[in-house]
Amino acid sequence: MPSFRTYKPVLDDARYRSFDTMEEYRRWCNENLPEWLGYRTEAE
Amino acid sequence: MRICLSGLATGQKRSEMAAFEYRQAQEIQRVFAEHGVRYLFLGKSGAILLGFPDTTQDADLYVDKQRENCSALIPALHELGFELNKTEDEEVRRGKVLIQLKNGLFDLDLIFAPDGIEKFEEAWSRRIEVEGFPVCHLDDIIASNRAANRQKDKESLGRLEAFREYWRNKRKER
Repeated sequence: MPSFRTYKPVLDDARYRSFDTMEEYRRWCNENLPEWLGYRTEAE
Repeated sequence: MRICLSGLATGQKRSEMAAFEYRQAQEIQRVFAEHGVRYLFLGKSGAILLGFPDTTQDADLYVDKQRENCSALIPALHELGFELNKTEDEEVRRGKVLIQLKNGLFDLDLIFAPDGIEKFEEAWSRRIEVEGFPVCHLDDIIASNRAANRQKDKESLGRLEAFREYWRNKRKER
């Protein structure tokens, strides 16, 4: 069954990404991803 | 943190890739079983396997961080089509907290220490087996979702909690 796949800017631009802590991951999301993707943890 | 920006190993355009599908969960199940990898479906992919009506573009796997398990995970990932270099293999072996793979036929998040869940063994003891898929208990999926506290998690939390009531009732009926 065909399905949709949408492009997520920044998030989909790397083939591999790794983080040492979840805090580091959250910080990266907050600082790098567009707000509308929904990955941010703080209102900015 | 480490990021590798080069393109897809498979030669596919991202727009040609599908959302995460049942047959891909089957591939993970088959290959991980062959290699003896201990893992649990987590996040939205786990909830969907439990019957939550939604879609996702990746699979979230909570992987047992024991060294031998991480070592078994490396050839399993290669067999699934993820091309990892030696540095990346070593990071998998070490069980970094979060590894995002976007160079295979589907996207995969390997989570070795998710928010909201203390220990793999505890989550494993609460797991739900669905058609052979090891899935985190919905309570753990919701706890992880709540602890992550991202906007997208907040948006789905209410629906997940409502689904949990339905899911519990259905289990009682069996």
